[in-house]
Amino acid sequence: MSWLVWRQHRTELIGLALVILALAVFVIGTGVPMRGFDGGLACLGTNAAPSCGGQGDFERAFGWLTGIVGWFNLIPLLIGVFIGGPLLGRELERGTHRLVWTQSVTRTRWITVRLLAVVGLAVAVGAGIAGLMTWWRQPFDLLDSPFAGAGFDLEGLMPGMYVLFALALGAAAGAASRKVLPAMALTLPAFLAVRLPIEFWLRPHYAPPITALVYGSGGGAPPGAWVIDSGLIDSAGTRIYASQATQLCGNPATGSLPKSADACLHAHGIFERVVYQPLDRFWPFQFIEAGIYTALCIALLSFTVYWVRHRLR
Amino acid sequence: MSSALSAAGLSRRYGKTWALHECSLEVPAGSVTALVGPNGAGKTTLLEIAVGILEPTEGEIRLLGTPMRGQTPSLLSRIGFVAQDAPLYRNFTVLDMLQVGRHLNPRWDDALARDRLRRLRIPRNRVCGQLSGGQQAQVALTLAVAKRPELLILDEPVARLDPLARREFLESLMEIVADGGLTVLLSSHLISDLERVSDQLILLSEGTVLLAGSTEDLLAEHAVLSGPRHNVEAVAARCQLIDARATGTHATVVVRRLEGPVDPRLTVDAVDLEELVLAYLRRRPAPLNAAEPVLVGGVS
Repeated sequence: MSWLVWRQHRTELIGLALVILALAVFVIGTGVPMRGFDGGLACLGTNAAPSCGGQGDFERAFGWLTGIVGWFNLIPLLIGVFIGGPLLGRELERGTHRLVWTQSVTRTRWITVRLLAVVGLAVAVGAGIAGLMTWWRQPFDLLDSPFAGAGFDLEGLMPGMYVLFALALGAAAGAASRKVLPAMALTLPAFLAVRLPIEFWLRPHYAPPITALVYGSGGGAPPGAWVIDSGLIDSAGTRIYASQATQLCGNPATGSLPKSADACLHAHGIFERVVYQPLDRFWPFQFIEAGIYTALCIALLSFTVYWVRHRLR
Repeated sequence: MSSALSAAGLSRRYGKTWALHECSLEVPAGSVTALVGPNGAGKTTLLEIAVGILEPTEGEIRLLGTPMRGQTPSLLSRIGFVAQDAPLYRNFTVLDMLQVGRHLNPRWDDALARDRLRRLRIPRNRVCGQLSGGQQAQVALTLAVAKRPELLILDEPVARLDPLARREFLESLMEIVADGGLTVLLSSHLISDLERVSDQLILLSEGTVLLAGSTEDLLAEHAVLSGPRHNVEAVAARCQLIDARATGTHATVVVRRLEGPVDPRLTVDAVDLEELVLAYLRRRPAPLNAAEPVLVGGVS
C-alpha cells in the first residue's frame, strides 16, 4: 500500500524535495555570509561587544532577505493544494479507488496508510523547514525578535502544523468533492481563511499582552519582545500622533522629533505606550497555536476517515 | 451445487428511491452467471454490494460461504473484481499495474499475469492511458485473475469495447473459465454479449429480480406461441403468460410451463435468450384479455 502511495505521488514528492533542496541552498548560501559579517552573531543584539561595528550595517546588508523568506510561508499551502488535493481526489475522480478497494486491501487500510503518509510528510517537511529557518534566522532573532517577520511561522512547531493542516484540508476536500480540481481550488481559500485570521487576530491574544508606559519616546519593550502596538499617549490616555508631537516638541519645519524632545513631551504629560508579548512567550505561543491546528487537523482527518468509510462507493 | 454468492432480501436505497429492492438470488459455484438488465436496473449496485464497496440498506449477502459484513482482507483476496469502465492508473505502465497487484494481494500470481499479457500482446512498458479500450479491459481482467480468485465479478466488462475487442475479451474469459475452479458473475445491459459465455442468468429490472436460473432450464421452460388470436388465448390461459403481442386476429405470446396438447393451428417455437429477456422486460400479458388490440413491434 505504501508502495502505491509513493508510486502515485512520486512526481510531486520529488518536486517537493527539490523545493526543500533549493531552500537549503538559499539558507546556507546566505546564512554563512551573515555569520561572517562584522563579528558574526556576537555582534548582534543587545549583548553585542563594544568593538563591533553598527548593527545597522547588518540590517542594510541582509535585511532585505527577510522579505524573500516571507514567501516560504507559501510552501505549506502549495503542498496542500498540489499533494493534498489530488491525494484522494484523483483516485476518486478516476474511479481507481474501486480497483484498490477490491484488491486484498480494505478501504480502511487504504485511507489509514494515506493519512499516515500525510502525517509523516508533514513531520519531515516541517522539521526540515523549521531546522533550516531556525538556523538561518538566528541573527534576526537576536537583532529583532523570533516573533517578528516570518519567524514564528517558520520556526519551531508551526511549519509542520501548517503542512499537516494544508494536507488534511486537501484530503478532506478531495474526499468530499471526489474531484481533483475542486479539491485543489477549495484547499487554497480554506487554508488562507484559517491561517491568516489566526495569525493576525488570535495570535497576539494567546496571553494578555503587557502594556508599558515609557518616559519619552523610543525603546520600551524588552529585547526580543513582539511589539504589537506602540505610540504616544497623553495623560488622559488618548493617542498623540507623531505630527501632533512634532508640533509640540519637535521641529515642525523638518518634521523631526529628536531624542532631546523627550523632556518636552514629558512636560506635556506625553508618554510612550508599548504593548508587547515578551520573548519568553515564544514557546508557549507555539504550543497554543500548534494545539489549535492539531484540533483542526484531528477534525479534518476524522471527517475524511468517516467520509471514506461510510459515504463513498 | 453450493452457492458462490447468495443474497437474501438485499435492498439498497438512495434517498427515496430503491436502487435494489428485496433481491434474493444465488450464483451457483462454478457457474458463469450473466447479470442482465437495462441501464439503471441496479446491476452495479448489486455487484458493488457483493464486493463490499457498498453496504446494503437491508438484507444480507453471503460470499463463498461467508456472510459479508464490511470488507475483510481474507474475503477480498478470494474475490476478483473489475469495476465498470475498468479503472486503471492512467500514468502507470502495465508493469506498474502488476506491481500494484503484487503489493496488494497475498495470493498474487505474477507468472500468470505476465504470461497472460504476453499472449495478449499488450505492451508491458506502455502507460495504461495510452492503451486501447480493449487492452485496458484486458489489463484490468489480468489484475483480477492473477489474484487467483474463487469468484470473479465483472461489471459491464465489454460495454466500452468495439465488437472485435468484445469478442476477444469474452474468448479470453472463456479460456480462464475453462481452466476451472472459478465462478464468474458478470453484468451487461445486453444479453447478446453474454449469451455464449454464460450458463446462468439473472435478469434485473428496476431493482428487482425478474428471472433467474440456468439458461438451459429457462429456455426449456419457455416457448413462443403464435397463431389466430382466439386459439392463442385459449392455450395461454392454461400456462403462465409472460408477454403478448397481437395484430388484428393474429397473436404471438411468450409463455412459461406450457403443458398438455397444443392446438394444431398454433405454431410453437423455442424461445432464444434475447427474446426471453425482452419478453420479461416488456411483460405485457394484458392485451389478450383486453378489448383493444395492441400494435406490434417498433413501438416499444
